[in-house]
Amino acid sequence: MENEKLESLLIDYIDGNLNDAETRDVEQLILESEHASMMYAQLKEVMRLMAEAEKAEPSARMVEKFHQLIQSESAIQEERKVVPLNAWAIRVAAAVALIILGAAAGILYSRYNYQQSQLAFQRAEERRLGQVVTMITNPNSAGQRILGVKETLEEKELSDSLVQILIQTLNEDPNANVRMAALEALQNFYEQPGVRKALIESLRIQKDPVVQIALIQILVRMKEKGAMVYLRNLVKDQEVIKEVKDEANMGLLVLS
Amino acid sequence: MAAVRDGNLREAAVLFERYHKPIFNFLASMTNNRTVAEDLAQNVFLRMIRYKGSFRDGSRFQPWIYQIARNVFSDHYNSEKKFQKSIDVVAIGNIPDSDNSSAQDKEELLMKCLGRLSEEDRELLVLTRFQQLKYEEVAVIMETTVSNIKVKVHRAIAKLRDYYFELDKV
Repeated sequence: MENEKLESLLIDYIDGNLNDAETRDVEQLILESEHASMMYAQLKEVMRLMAEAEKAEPSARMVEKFHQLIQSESAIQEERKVVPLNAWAIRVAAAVALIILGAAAGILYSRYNYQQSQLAFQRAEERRLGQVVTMITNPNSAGQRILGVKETLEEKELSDSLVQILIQTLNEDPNANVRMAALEALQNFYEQPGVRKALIESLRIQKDPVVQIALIQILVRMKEKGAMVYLRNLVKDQEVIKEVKDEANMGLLVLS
Repeated sequence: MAAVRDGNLREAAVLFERYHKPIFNFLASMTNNRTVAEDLAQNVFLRMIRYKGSFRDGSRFQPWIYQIARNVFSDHYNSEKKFQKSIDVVAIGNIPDSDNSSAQDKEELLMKCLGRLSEEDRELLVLTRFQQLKYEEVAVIMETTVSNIKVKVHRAIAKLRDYYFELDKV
């Protein structure tokens, strides 16, 4: 019997998925064949370990954070929910007012309505973006910072302050994975003011080869000739490793 | 979940209470890192609330939340994999001697071997063997057939056995 078939049969046997006749056949095989017997013992051990593996307990912090999340999302939802209701009531009132008081009062109510909904929307957005910034600047968890950076990808356009936070993360975060996440996020917003320049400038700052190589590839894809001076510097720099120099040379070839 | 989708976010606490441990354990086994798993699990429940509108009437919650967890892990994995060297036998370090090893040592070795499997194989074993979901449930989560899941799980167990006993001899 092929190994794969034998293994599958033994797994079904251990799981108790065979009928009586098949069970007897497998038990006979285990008795007669040393190979099958050894395979059975090993599979049984591995499957037992998986089934009995200790279940980890999440920390109380996780539960607490979830309740904070519910509170904050409820507040956002309330703000969003209240606006349409007000809008409806105000629209009805405005319609009545239009009949009674004329077009001038109607215009006033419409403006008020629009401003209220804009204000509520802005508050909800500010709160959400505030959460993103808190995540990106969380000094205790690189995972949270990466998640925060990834949240920015949901945006069509970033505020100047968020761009600055991402640039700062790219250049100063102690964790290379977080810096890479910031780099990937920034490349999506390269048309926004200051991003191209910051990416070129970052070539001078980055010391981690993985980030350096990714940055070179992005600047070359952007056909950013302004990076050539820094690429030449990288090629000349004694402290830069060969792989990065090769990538810089390749970039110079493409850009020149 | 239908209540949460319709705006009653307080009901999300009931779902969190019921599912946060399995989801955390799924992510802890996939990442082999409790801190990261907590962050990712938090993100799963954030997405549950943000994307509550995508939950369809008549569908089951468990496959839906696991699908979110898989997506969250996949996003995390894709951003991390560029930087992680695959674990090799030499890099693993002190492998416990099989005769004297404690249950904890054996579990550590098992987790290291699990880390050598492909993302898909690891996910299948975590769901079916560690979390002990039925093949039918995993088939719904992965949107495939039960027989396909069964074949893949058997192959993954066989690979894990190879790695485990190969490392056990080192």
